[in-house]
Amino acid sequence: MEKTKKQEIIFAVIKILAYLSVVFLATLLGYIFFRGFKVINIRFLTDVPRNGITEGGIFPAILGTFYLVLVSFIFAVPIGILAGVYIAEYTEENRFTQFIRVSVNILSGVPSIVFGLFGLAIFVNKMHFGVSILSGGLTLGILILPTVIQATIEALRSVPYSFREASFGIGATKWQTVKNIVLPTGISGILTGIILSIGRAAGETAPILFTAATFYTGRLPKSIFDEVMALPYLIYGLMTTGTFPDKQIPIAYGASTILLLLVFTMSIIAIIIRLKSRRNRKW
Amino acid sequence: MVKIEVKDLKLWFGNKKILKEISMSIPEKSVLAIIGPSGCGKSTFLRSLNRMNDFIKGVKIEGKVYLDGKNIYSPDVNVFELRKKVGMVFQKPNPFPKTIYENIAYGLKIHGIKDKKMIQETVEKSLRDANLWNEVKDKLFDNAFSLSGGQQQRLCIARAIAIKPEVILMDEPTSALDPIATKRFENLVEELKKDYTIVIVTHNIQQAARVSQYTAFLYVGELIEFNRTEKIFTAPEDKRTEDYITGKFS
Amino acid sequence: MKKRAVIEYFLPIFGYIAVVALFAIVITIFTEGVTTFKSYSLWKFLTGTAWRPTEEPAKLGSLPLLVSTCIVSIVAMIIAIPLGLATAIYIGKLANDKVKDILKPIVELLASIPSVVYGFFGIVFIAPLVQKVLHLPIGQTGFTAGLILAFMSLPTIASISEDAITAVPASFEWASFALGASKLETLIHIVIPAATPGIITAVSLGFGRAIGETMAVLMVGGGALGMPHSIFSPMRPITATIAAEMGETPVGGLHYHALFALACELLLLVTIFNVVAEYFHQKFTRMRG
Repeated sequence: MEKTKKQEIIFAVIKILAYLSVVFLATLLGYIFFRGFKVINIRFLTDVPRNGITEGGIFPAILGTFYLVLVSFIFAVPIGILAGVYIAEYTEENRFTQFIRVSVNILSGVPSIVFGLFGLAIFVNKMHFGVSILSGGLTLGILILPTVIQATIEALRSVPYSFREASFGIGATKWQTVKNIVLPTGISGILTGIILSIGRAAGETAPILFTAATFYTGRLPKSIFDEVMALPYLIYGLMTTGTFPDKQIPIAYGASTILLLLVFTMSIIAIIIRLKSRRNRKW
Repeated sequence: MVKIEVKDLKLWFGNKKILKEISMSIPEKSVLAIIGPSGCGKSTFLRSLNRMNDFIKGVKIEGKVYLDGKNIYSPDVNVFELRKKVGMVFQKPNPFPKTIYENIAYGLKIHGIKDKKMIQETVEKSLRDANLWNEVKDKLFDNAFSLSGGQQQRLCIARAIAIKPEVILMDEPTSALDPIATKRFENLVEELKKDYTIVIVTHNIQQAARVSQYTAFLYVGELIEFNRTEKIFTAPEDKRTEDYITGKFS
Repeated sequence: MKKRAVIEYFLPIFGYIAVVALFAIVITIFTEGVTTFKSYSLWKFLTGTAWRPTEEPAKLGSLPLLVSTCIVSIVAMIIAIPLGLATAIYIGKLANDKVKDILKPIVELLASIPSVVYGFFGIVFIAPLVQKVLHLPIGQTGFTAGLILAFMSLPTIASISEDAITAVPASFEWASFALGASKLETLIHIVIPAATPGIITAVSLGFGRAIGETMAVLMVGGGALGMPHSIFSPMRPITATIAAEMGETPVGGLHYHALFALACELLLLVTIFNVVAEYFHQKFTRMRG
């Protein structure tokens, strides 16, 4: 049968193309992890870089990335959730809310380097926070804000309306209903969004290039007004401004491995939460 | 003349046996109504006549279905040609999200007809035969979803008959239609039976009595009774058939 | 009527935060950028073919950067659209549940890899590979950057297209099968046309990501500032130029503002592209009825 023959060939091609991304991912991970794990040990994780980042560890970069993520988290998560709650629960569907949601979508599509420029102009220069954890963390915070808002809206929308009616029915106020019924029911969706955006904040480079990161500093940051080393910037720096590639590229492999493990842990946690909540869903 | 001969048809979904040893002969150019309570396997039976159950995971089929003496489950059967011969109309009208014209032309293109003039003629003829031509002749290139539910269902008939089938299977075709549209649909079935063998699954016992010459009563996967419609409705042989058509259960 | 909780009075403020942020960003970038044109001709900025901001007098022709951005993103899309669609079709319609459960998370992981790691992998693996296979004098080219970008935008294209494909009602497919159409014919003539608006959204989001991506193109693009001769020459797109030069320029100078002007150009490009995509999205949605 000619019809089935043609179909078989085309479906086989589609299958091969689909698996190309698996091959790509496997190659990338295999190539980086294989070389990365060779240099990773306790000292690599806990020591400061030595001799112009040709020896020693990358602890300051790990710590810096942690601080940056922490600041962005503190800034974006509460605001993002409250914004999402407002949009999903307190607004009617009209032109104006449509405008808000379109703004959220556009914001999430703004190139990350533009966030970097904004952070530079506003936080670093205008507000005089300087190149610092605060400037970088706020910049990353604005970057992940739309993701948190979108995740919250989507999670709350998936809560059946009957849950709210039941709560109103026993005399609860709007806020009591949102706080006690809607948010707890939608929490796994919100969590998934937050965890994914943490991974994103940890891995972004362009927004911290001129707002927070420095390639090399011997000391650890003492306040949020200090500049910091960060994992992604370290990798970039080692590959572009490094002067001893033989010794620095292995360190870049190690740093990339750590960064990948970090974001993958986040993604996998998010995937697990989502699967679990889907399985536990009874309605 | 027997058009379809079903012999010892058995069907399982996983471990669950849905159809139990069904045998019947469906005469040519007549309407056979399949009735029975929900979940008795009528739709599944219908779908086994054009092998639409092939797509469902975990389905196992035994037994034989002969169309003009040829078993449609034998390995050398071209299932695409089979479905060209055995058309189908579904429970809910399901036109494609395309124009009215394209809806009908689609089946022709699938079966290799490229001649534009021939396609145009067939589109018109099919729409005429489906009693829809007068309503849509000025808007053939409108989206099919601009039609009413009843019109959509007649469009689905036109789509099915455009590829010149010999048998048309209808799976509760009027369940989504209002009474007037249902009446028009039934009149259409009456006309179509001159040229086609029609098997119609219906939940509506009166409909079966109105449109069919033969009736089969299915109950929990079993064929309880098969006979001429007037016989079934006036002197059923089985107690269960009688209880069902008199509305003692549904 | 019960009293409102205190927090409810403040909720609207948070609700508008995204609008405020968006406007703040756009206004900041444009005011900083427009300052350039007090001392430099807008026309020369848009059409000039030499970007030499540190020369005296500075030459701020952004055309080669814009062309580079376009080349890199188009190469990326030429690779990513077929791959992404194939992945979407395979996951959505062909693979069994087990394979689906493995493939979907893999695509998600691909999306979560930081761009600097893509850039790093590009330098150490893809660029040397491209150089060797295509016999090029240098591996870091616009094509190489496009290749990396393709895999970065693939997850976006694949997952959103897959949503669109699986959202097509099964009844359309049943109808097509019942007419004797094969799975392939049904896919080509029924499912994909019905999913087209969603696929357009998917592609435009993927394209947006490719245009705006910085680190990978900075690290892998080769960094050459002249007008690119071919897709296989080194080049430096808009984003990469901003990233590479902002760190080394004094705040408030012409060069500083010119980099903001580049960001304006980038934002306009993204906006124009989105408007076009929205137009086609609407058109196909209407056609579908």
